[in-house]
Amino acid sequence: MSKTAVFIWLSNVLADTSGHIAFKRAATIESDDEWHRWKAMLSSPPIWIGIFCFVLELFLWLALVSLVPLSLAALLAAFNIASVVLAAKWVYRETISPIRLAGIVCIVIGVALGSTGL
Amino acid sequence: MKRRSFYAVGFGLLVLFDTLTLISIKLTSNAMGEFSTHSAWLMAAFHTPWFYAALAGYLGSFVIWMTLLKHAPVGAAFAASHFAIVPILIVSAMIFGEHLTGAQISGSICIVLGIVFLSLGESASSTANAISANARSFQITWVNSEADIPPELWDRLFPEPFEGRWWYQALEQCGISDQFTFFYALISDPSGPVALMPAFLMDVPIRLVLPPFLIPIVNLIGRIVPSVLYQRTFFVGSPCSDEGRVGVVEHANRQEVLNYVNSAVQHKADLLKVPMRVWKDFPQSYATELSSVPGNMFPMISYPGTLVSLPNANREAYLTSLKSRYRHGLKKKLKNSTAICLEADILQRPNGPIMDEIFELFWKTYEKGKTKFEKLNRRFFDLMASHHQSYFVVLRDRNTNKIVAFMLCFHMGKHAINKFIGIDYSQPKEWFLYYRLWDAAVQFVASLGGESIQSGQTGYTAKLKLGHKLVPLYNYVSHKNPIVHWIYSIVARNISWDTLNEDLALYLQAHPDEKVSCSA
Repeated sequence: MSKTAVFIWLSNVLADTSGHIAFKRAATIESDDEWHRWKAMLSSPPIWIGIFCFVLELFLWLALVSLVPLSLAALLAAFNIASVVLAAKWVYRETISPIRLAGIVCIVIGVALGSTGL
Repeated sequence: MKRRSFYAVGFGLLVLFDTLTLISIKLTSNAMGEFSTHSAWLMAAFHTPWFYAALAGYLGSFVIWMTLLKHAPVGAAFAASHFAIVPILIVSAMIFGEHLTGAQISGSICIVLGIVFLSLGESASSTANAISANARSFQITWVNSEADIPPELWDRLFPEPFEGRWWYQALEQCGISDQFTFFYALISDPSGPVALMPAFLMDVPIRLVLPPFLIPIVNLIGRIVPSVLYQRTFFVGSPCSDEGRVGVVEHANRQEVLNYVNSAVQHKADLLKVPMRVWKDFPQSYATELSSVPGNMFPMISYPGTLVSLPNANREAYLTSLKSRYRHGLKKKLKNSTAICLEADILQRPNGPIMDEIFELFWKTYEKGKTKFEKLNRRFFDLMASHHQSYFVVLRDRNTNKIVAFMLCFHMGKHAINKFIGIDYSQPKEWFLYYRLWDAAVQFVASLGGESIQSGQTGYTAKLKLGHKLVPLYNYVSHKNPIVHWIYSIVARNISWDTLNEDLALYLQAHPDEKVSCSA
């Protein structure tokens, strides 16, 4: 895998994780009713940071699949699942139960195995 | 559409849309040509229809994801939202002719396993969140005395025929705090009180729950480490009520309340550093809810309650309702003992010397009993006797005027609780004191319009012969230490009525259809 591909993959991980974290921040905005909640969410920076991250991610995906086979890209993308869980622990102090930790370890091993020799 | 097919179609569509989105992205990138950092490469995306297909795929996934989330369990939805990796690998091999290495296939298996683990973790945390979401609307107040709960709330949540405030008052005031520490939890929501839960803390002698062959071994260990002889336990219920109860107002969602109560009990037990929690002797009517309470409790069958019905509050009708051999047996015993100079009497608020006699008889019977969970004292009896619904059914020897047997009955409308008994075992067996006493109690309860008598969790052989039905009761148990919890849960699975009590074992040999296992 070329250095560019690695860079694009890591950027993709960063964009996806940041997007999820930003959306979560936006989703926790509370209001009296659903209409005002959406209004407040749409006028808050986190939701736009989230949208920006996901648009960026789409283009990073386009770049990644043009550099590596789709199968490898799909395997690499699974890393995002683990990174979001870890980031949520770091940012929102979400707990990682032993079973979740086992899930993260499996995914990391899976991604490492899937990308070996390439 | 049925729920199961709804999920299947929903999850299938989600995986399909995710796969189509990625294929469209791949086809877009193929159409865009070789990757470059020039803006022209990026702009080329807008000129290929696959780019818009990818956008539509994103939108479709989003809509399905939101719809699924509304109805489906989070854990399953989470797994489905990432499960597209499998069809993508298949498609990339079949359509794009990519070669999948062994490492890649193993890697994808690992990832799928990881997704399964994460979704399991997600299910568990979403249940916990659901509880804490409900918990937000509930508030709990722990108090140490029944007097701190408004009397009208006791009346409302522990109405007859349940043992109410007076019962807990007697237990608190009789001076058995060396055996039990009492707690009461008052649960409220913004509309006011919703539930009342009595609880208590006790160091349970381990010999009460161990299989007999283990007792000598544990006793030996106990000489060196005395703490192994007792298991400090936080109980929900009352030490000597037949049935556990959490009083819940009608308008509240009982499952939500019980879920909340259990998490509050867990918290309280943690604060008190008590490893074991037990919901004591809860009837079948709680089985569905308590089995659904999150928190890893397992049911363990307890000593069954006993209940007899007196049709039309009539002694004759009761006798007719008995199986013929039992009816003949009872009549024969009563007839044979009529020559004995025994006199039945009903006493309310007996005076001191009579209470001395009664308590002496109780103590003799207590000493003879095998299951000794609580040790009640004279003061408790005095307090019980002062209650306006307490009646002592006594048998007196006419010659000596001495009380030779008593039964304490609580009259609760159409129901009576026959709670404590005392018999002078030094009297000849042909006096059939228990049966004489029972007959007097039946006549008395019937005369008050009582249509059923609850008779407690001991002396099953005689009670079954007197027409009692067994009432299944369950303990719901949890231990903080996962290994101990696991061991106890295995022990619990092997406990049944016949392992608990010899009388029951004999009875169930003859009536195997009445056997109840721990399928609470």
